[in-house]
Amino acid sequence: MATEIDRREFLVATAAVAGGMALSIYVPDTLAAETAVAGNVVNPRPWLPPAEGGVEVNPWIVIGPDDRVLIRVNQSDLGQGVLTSNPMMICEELECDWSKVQSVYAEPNRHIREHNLYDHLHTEASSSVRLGRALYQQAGASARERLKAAAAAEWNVPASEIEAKNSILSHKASGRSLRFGQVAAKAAAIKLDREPAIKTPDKYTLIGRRVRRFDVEVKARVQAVYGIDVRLPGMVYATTKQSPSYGGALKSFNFDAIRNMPGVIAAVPMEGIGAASGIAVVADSWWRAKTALDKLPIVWDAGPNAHQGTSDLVALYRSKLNQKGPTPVDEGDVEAALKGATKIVEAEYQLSHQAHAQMEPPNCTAQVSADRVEVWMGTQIPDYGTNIAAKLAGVSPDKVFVHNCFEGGGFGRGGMHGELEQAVTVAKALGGRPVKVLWSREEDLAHVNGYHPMGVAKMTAALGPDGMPMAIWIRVAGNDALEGTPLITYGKYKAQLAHQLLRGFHLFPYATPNLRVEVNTMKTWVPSATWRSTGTYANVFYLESFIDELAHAAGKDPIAYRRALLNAANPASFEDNAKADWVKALDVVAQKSGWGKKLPKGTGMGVAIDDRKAVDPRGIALVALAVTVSVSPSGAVTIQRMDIIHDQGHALINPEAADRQIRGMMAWGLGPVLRQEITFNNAAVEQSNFHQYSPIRMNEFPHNITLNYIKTNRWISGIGEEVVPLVAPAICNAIYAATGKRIRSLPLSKQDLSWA
Amino acid sequence: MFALKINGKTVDVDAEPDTPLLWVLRDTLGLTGTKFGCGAGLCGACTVHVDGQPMRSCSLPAGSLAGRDITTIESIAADKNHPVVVAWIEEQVPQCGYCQAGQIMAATALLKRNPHPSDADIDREMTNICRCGTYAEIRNGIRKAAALMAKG
Repeated sequence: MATEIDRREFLVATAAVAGGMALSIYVPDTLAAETAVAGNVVNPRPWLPPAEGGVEVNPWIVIGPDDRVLIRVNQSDLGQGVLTSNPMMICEELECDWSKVQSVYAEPNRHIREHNLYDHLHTEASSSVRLGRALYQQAGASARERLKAAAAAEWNVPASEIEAKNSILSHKASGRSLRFGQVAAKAAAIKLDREPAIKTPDKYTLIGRRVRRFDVEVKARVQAVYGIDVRLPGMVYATTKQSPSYGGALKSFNFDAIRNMPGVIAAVPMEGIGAASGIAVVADSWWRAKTALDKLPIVWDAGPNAHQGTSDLVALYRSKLNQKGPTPVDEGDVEAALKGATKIVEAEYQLSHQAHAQMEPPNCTAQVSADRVEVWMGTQIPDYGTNIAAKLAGVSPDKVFVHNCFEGGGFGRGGMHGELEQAVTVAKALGGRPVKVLWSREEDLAHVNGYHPMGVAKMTAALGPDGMPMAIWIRVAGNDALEGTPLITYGKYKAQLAHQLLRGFHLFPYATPNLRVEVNTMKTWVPSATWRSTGTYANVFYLESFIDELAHAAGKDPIAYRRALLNAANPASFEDNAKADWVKALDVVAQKSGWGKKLPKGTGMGVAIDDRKAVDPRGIALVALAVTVSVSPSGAVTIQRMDIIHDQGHALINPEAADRQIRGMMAWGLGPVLRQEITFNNAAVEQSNFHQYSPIRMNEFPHNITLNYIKTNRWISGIGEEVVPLVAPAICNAIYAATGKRIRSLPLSKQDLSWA
Repeated sequence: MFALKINGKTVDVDAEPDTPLLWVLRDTLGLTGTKFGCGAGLCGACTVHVDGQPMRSCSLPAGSLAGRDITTIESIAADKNHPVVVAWIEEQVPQCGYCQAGQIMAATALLKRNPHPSDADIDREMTNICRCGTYAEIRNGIRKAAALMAKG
């Protein structure tokens, strides 16, 4: 349930004076493509409006004399479409002409100066609708009522008699009308006695429509300015090398060896900056900086982990599976049930480290003077970036201007700011000269700033004579997904753990009279980070694989088995009363996928289901996935078909964007199943580029993907990552159906799947 | 100093001849539409056309390209009615959009060679990486562009 906002806050916020310092931005000739000023567009530099002018009716909404409506968006568009869908939530209430709506990023500097004016600026965990909807609807409704009040004052009639529609205010009785643009200035000065109520979903006319995204045209016409594209007068270029081994440090370097190479300007050592100690070489072009850095003699202190590798990590994680861990859930008597079991099923699962490998290598451009810091980068958390830059430059945050550029993929990586720390550090050393720090892909994979951590689980079940569970016992070991996040205390035994490691097990959807969950939270020398789907990625793999194992052990169909366990479950073990929706999602996925049909030898179907619930409840989104795979006799896997069921709750904002994002996530999920993994040797990453950490390409992307939504009675938690965790278990379950081979660790490239 | 023929114009370039074409385009000439993804010819974000053939500019020494016809995304995108660009907008292909310049260059070259590519042709010829997973939309975009081209 989204939190209701304090309506008084709006009165305060709307009374604030329009802010934002005018910045002169260098527009290089080659990027001087004309900036469209009409229609649904964004500026190729998304931190700037498509056109100047207009009246700020409230901090979110600027209305031009020509009725053009500029919506300021407080999140980053990573391709999920918030530059379009967030304005939809405002315009649903504003009653403006949608064809005149444009958008721009809210200014981080103003947000900070005006005490979190935009509530939040971060973009993470599929939060745009969850955190924003009520806020945006209120902003739109408030502006609409003030426009009405302004027209009412003009005509001396009650505001209640005025209708707002399509950017026109009309008074039916007298036949008079005014355009929004004609009264915007007066509306901006009006204070409402009380804020209007916002629409309920049944009243929506814009939300839920299939709308074209504002950012598509500037991207398809290649005008969009990503962080890497920023060019400034006098700008120099830097590239960095951080300690190859995690925990290592820069010992010494010999700048004299590269001093006379073409274009070389400086070498800047960086201690404790970003994820590791390292060095930047600055030159008049990036290639010259890179060439010089490659030649720079550097001595590293390999550090305390120098002899550690993936096999050590695996041994360490697995050792935790033989130790009792903090126990957040312990219902009934698991031991007694195991003693009385007709059959005991045991399985150990393992997942690898993953990198984000977003297409745009990490970069940040910075210019630092005594009292002003400017930063250009694509980031998921520009306010956090502002504070980091301020701290490093030694200025107050109101002196920092982060220009949020288009970002070539976020996936959780866009909230990391090692490159920003480096750019500010190097810019500071250059005394006012702007510098663009850009990592090579090799540097990105070696120092992503935090990997999705590996994880292991031991799952044990006692089955009764009917094949149904009498007890389930889960023991997991994993890293905190985000280093430094405090552990939580959970359950009557006050278990201390990272909440992502418990996620999904805290409310257990499948009926079992005895249940124990143990969670070992690890800390290793590998930095960890959020990654599209984070903790659910592991827990859904463990649980949905294991339930499939239990179904087969019981000799039952995996969907029928799940259905029976869901039906027998206590309704209290579902967030938001979702028990019936789980069953419905299974039924729909079975129907849409043709579950149960006869398949040729070597072909099989697998299913997985989840609702993304979090330990700290914040809403759910029910998702189910059926995958049909064929495995050749020699073990080559082909994904024949994927059938996705996704919760749409009360409404999706822009189904056009939702469809594409959800479908695209199949690629994100498939890579780690087929072959992607990050491994370590001597505390250094072994994969240097896309030949070794190889995302899936066109020829592996399934041709047959269906996507169907189910309507439920809730606001869903999000769509940005919900279906990712289902891909691995659904595929592995399908492989079992096809071959009889049970996959308990990924990637598949390390497994022998031959069956002939 | 050496000369390159880029988008129909001859330009003098002040860079070491072994500088990859990508960096000459982006940093020396300010043609930032061509994107850096891997620096090793693996991802295709930097695809340009050299004498009409799609090539990965991050791995082409610029000094070796004297007299060759180099076409970048800027030249394609400058054509308001370019069928591939129009199709990319119609099909709403880009998500984060970063790889799409390379995808458009690869698709344009494919359609030039093969105006009616089959699904199998697209799967074989389109080898660029997209982390958002826009592959289904790219397929639709190529089919749409082929239809637009057939109509003339």
